[in-house]
Amino acid sequence: MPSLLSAVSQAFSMIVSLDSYLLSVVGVSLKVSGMALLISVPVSALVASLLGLGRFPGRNLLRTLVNTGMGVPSVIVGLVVLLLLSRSGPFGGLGLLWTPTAMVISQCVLITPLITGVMLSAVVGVDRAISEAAHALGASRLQRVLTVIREARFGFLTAVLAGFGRAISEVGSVLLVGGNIVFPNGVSYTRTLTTAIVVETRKGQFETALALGIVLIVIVLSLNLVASRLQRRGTL
Amino acid sequence: MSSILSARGLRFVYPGGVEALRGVDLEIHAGEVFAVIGPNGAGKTTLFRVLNMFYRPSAGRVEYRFQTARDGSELSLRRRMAMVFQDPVLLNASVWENVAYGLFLRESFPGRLRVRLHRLGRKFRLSLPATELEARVERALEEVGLSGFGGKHARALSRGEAQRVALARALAVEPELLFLDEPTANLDPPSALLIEEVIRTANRRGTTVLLASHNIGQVRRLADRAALLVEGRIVESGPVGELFRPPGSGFIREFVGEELLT
Amino acid sequence: MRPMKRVVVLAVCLWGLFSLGQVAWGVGELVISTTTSVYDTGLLDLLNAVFGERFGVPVKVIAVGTGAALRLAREGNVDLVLVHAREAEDEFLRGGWGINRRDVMYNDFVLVGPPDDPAGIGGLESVVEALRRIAERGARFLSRGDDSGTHKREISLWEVAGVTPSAPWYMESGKGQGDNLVQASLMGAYTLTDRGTFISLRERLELLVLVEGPLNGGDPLLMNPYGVIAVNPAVYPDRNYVMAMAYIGFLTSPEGQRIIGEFRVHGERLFVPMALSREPRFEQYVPQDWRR
Repeated sequence: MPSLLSAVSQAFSMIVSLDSYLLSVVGVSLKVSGMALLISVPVSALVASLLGLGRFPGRNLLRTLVNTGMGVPSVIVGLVVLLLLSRSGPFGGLGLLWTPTAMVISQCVLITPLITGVMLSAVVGVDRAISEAAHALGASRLQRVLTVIREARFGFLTAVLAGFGRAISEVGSVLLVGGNIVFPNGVSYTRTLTTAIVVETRKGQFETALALGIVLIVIVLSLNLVASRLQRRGTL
Repeated sequence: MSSILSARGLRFVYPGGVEALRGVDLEIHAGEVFAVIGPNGAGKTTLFRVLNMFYRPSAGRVEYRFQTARDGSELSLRRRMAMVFQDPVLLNASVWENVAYGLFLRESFPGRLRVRLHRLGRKFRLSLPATELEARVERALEEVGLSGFGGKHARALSRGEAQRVALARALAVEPELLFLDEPTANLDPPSALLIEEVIRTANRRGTTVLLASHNIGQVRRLADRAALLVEGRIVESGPVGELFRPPGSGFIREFVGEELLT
Repeated sequence: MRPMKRVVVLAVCLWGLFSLGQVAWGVGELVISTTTSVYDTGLLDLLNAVFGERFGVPVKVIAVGTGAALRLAREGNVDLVLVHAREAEDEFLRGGWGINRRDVMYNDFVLVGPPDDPAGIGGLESVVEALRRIAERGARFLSRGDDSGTHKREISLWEVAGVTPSAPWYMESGKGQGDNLVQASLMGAYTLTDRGTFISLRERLELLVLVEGPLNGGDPLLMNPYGVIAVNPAVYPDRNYVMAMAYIGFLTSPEGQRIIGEFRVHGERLFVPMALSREPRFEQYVPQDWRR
């Protein structure tokens, strides 16, 4: 077994040489998770605001659904989406299976509850007195909601980063609905960083798997650094 | 003496069943300082929340007679009032943002955009004229003695400074009716006196002031008339001079204590 | 500078287009489901590159377990399936989900184990005998346990041996071939593996081939034939049947068979082509028990 050190050094040389397989896989990861984020964030913001500030029947049920949704394993989400998009399934006619679009869909389903949950706690964490002060200074109902959301802005940003982190490091759902496809010339179609790690480890290409792992960790690490800087700014 | 606010038969019951107001009648004269005093839990805060339309009364009605309300709608009436709370409750932003908050609420989208662009432009050393909104913010900051504090962040303020910012925030919108719920309760004496001075100045300009306070000294210094609220009912009211002249009614003696009566 | 700039922009655009990987001029795309063991050898990338160029169609391979590969085909999610599990393939054919089956190639399984060989099976010619000994001595055995082609073969071999494997010496990993080998190596357990995966991982493993397969003159019971089947267009008319048939044609053509036969991993041959034959081999087209 070659030493861990030699594996790591080979990994670094792959990264530095901008290996095209590595690049295309990173590209797919960022594209898919980025798109999922773009869709999930506004939806989550809406739901979180409604849940945190509104009063309507079924509110507690929705809250429970959000909390449950946060803990669903990615494989389950992938399986359900696979069955939905399968030719023999209800949405088979759309021909979305094995495409990055299917991956975006499943990641949306996966991260929306998480983002909503974190945004919700941010909204709820805003001092109730803020809402009353807004009223006392002449805010309309909508303005009150917007004021609370603005006060929760750092929490919202944390939610977005949490969602992206979850999306980019998940394997289960994109593996199932994407098919982990790479064209014969080595350019990735639906292979992400994480699913590439699965394949390369399976094939015994530990150096490649490590290189991919390092890139993934660097991405997630930078996200967390940004998040922690924001946390510090966000406290009054 | 015209009346700016008159309330008749106000009752308020909290959802849990607690009856906080049991039939309150009030008549506030335009331009006066009116104090509401009473023990904790008497209903002072609830009363203020009903009067500034945060709560709807369970019974009774309130009539407002503002001079500059745009129409009779709830929002336009509310926008002639402003309130300062016992805790400053500032936004997580700069002092300038906080003081400008109420003004932004009342400003149209193009107006808000214009102010933001002007401020942004000035950051890049473009010379742009000061907008009306910015001028009002400056005036409010001056009035509370915090000129130059605009750039400071709210979390960097002392408690006294924070409360002054809250007061500036309320004064910036030039309310006809200003609510003050124990505004100096947790402040050091110098800050408290400063705030009292600002209140006096604002009142001299014509702002009607509704003050809830524990501080009898403050009430005697600032208020023209006062009402004693006990368990949701007004048990005594009248000009401050008369109210606190010995021997004083049983209620007053009980609430105030013998020593404070001159 | 300006004409130069235009050239650069055009070059960038063309590069962008081409780097999408496929300048597809053929009809649609071809989606194949197959097993991880054959995909991981890299043979398909080789074949598909040639096919893609010849027919102008991007080939997308979905590598999963045997069961999943057939399930995907059964539900019309792929155009073609390539697996090595004859019983399951026969069931697939009987169900009418697939047509035009062809034998493509075979490789073999080998029985590997720890160098110290606690059950003493090294060099045995009969894999069934080796399994009996492992059971008798209670030597550790790690099974795929995942319904894969390898797993199914292993089950049938235990049946022939007349042994019902059980705890504590018999364990299931539920993993793919590579992961299973790594685990077996770490545990010092015997396991059944396809030759190809073992060869690619050999350096990292502390396992030896103890019972050989037919590629090296060993037990024919370890032969592992691969079959390719097109998804039935009568059931799933939207699939790319024409390209699937072109692919089958390519795989079973002299050229395709040559590529398969010449394929080497670490200098070793992994697959033996078996599609070409002067004699009619009707048994490859229908389920094995088909009698009219």
